[in-house]
Parts: sequence; structure tokens; C-alpha cells
Amino acid sequence: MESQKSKRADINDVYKLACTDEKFLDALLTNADSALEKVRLNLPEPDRKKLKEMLEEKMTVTGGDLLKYTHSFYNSLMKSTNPPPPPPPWRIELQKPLR
Amino acid sequence: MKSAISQSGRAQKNAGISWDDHIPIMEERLKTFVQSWPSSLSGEFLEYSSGLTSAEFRKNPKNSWVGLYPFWIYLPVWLTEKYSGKKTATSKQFLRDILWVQICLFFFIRIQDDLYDGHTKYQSLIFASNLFLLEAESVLSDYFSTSSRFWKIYREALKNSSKAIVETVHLQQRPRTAPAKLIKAYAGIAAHFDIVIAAICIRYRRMADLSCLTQFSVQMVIAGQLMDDLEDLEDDLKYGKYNYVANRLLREITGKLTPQSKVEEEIRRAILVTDGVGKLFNAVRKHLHLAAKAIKPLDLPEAITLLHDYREGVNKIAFIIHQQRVNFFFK
Repeated sequence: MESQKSKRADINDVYKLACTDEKFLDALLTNADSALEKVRLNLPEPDRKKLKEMLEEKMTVTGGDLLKYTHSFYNSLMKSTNPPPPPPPWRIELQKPLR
Repeated sequence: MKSAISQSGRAQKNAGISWDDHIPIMEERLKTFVQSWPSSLSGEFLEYSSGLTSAEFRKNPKNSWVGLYPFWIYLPVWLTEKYSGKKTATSKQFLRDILWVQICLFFFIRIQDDLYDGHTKYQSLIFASNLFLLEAESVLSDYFSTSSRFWKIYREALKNSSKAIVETVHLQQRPRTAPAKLIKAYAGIAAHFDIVIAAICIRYRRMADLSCLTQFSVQMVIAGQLMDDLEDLEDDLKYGKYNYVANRLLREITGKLTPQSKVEEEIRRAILVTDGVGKLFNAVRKHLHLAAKAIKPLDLPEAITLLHDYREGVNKIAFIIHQQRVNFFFK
């Protein structure tokens, strides 16, 4: 029964779990209370309020701020990985210029 | 380029194929071919071809994944090596010719697509495209008589690719096209890759393998195209083009129709506040899985290794992107 109890947590615990669990992040954005309950993270009320405000603020970001964030998203996308994902089928890079 | 190739070159090395041997030969053949054109046309083609190298690759050729060759360059090498058994001068020549045909057909389609999309200002390239097509036909004629069943496959493939290019542009002009329709159109564009596959199967009397190979090719094209759509999302939106990723993301954000003026912002928001990009990676994984399923009966270890590497690459990118989303909300 002990394992059924909620674990006392802070925002950093929520962050760590969101980093490793995609579904948890999405649940958190839909309904933070129910997402925390489901994973048995007991966040004290002040932290819970802070977390909700933080998420809400980002959910409503618009205009220039949104652009700034999506640009940083693109920069991450272009980071190299080894091995790479499938390259675009319509592109070939020539080893040396044809001239 | 060499370092980028060698990053994912396990599949080639496993088969004892020195891929790097083929590239300079193909590029030299391309150079000689282009130099045989009127100087004004070759000059414009050279300008055009220098733009094919992505900015990312130019900036950092050693680390960029975008510099890698697509599967359709490798596949003819694997197949001819497997089917021809021992390496004879004839099989080597056939491989070089068939690779050259692949490159000619690629430029034939790619140039027309770029002209249609307005990605190049050089209208004269329509004739370069014709010359590539005629060159491909001329080389293929050395191997297949006019009565060969090959030519029926050839015409059908070019017809399907041509129709699908127009259909894709049409579908991408409006947001909220059903993603499945775009996938079908992308598969149609890939039809011209069937030509070289069919040529190899007919040449080596392996027609039983054709449907597995074309299925593999289609799935690989779709997987790569979805990654391309993600990479090109910003640019495409700038030109009012709603590619597969844009359409999928719009579906994530709301069930209601978004006013045209807000579409771009909605897509940006969907990247961050929904798992739309995560779902896109799942779609890429699905098409890689279908490619693996198609190629499995053929016992081509190089293809399996390449697919394994691609899947790992997708997982790594997906992880990076997820981290980015988490940091967006928490930092």
C-alpha cells in the first residue's frame, strides 16, 4: 500500500518527469491537477499554483515571443545526430562544384 | 561530403562497396554532360546546381545530417552487387550507367518541380530538364530494346510522377488538406524511382522482387519527405505552402477552421503546445517500419542497417525536440 501514496515533490521533479515522459507533458498541459495525481506527484499548493501559472503563460504566448521560441525549436531540429534521420528524398549535395 | 557519407556509411561498408568510388565518377559524368550544352544553358544550370546544397550543409558539412544522400543512390549499388554475383566489367558498367540514369531522372523531375514551384528564376532550365530525360532514355536504350516491357513501366512511372507533382502543389495551396491525401501524392511523385529498380530487376531477371522494392522505395520517400516537410516548414509557410507537417499541426491545435490570417501563428503554437511534432515522428517511424517490412524478404542487410540507423536518428531528433518543448514551458 505504501507505493500507492503520493510522493511529495517540487517543480523540479515535475520538470524531470516531463523530460522523460512525453505523455506526461501533454497531460500536464491539458489538466495539471489530474496529470500530477495520475503520476502520484504531491506538489504543495504554492508550487502547484506557480506551475499552473507558468504553463498558462507559455500556452498563450503570441507574436514575436512565439516566433522567438519556434526559431530556437528549429535550431534544435537542425542539430546533427549520429546516425541521422532519413534525409529528404529530393536533395543531393554535390561533393564538389561542377565548375 | 565524404564525412557525412561515412557517418551513415555502415550499410555500404558492410557490403564491401566503396561508395566513395562512385560519387566522383557520377559527378564527372554530370560535369561532362553539362559542358556539352550551349554555354548559356550550362552556366544557368551550374548556378542552379550550386543552390542545391543546403545552407546548413555549407555551414557545417561535417556535422550536418542534411548532407546525406537519399536511399535511391544506394539502392542500385546494393541490388546490382547482389544480383550480378561476381563483379564483372559488364556489371560494373551497368551499375555506373544505371546510377547515371537515376541522377538524370532525378534532375529531370527536380528541375521541373523547382520551375513550377518558382524556386528557380532560370526558365531555360526547362530545356536542361528535357536534356536529362533524353540522356536517361539514350542510356537505357543501350540495355532495353524498344519492345522490352521495361518501357511500359518507364512511361507509367514518369506519368505518375508528373501528375503527382501537380496534385501535390494543388493540395499544399490550402491549409487543412487531409494528411492522407498528401501522403498519397508524395508516394506518386516517388514513382520515377521505380524506373531504375525495374531496370535492374529486368536486367537480372528478378521481377519477383519488383513489388517489394517499389514498396520499399515509396515508404523511404515518404519518410524522408516528412522530415523534409518539418525542416522546410518555416520556408514553406512563407510562400503560402501548407505541407504535410503544417496540415497535421493545424489538426492538432483546434477542430475549428482557423481564419487564414491566423494560420501561421496557429501552426507555430501547435509546435510548442501540442505533441504534433511527436506524432509526426511516429508517422516517420511508421513509414520506416513499412519500408523494413517490404525489404525483409529480399535479404538486403545494407537496407536493414540503413533503416535501423534512420530509426535511431529519428529517435534522437525526437528526443531533442521533446527536450526543447519541456524547456519552453519550464525555463
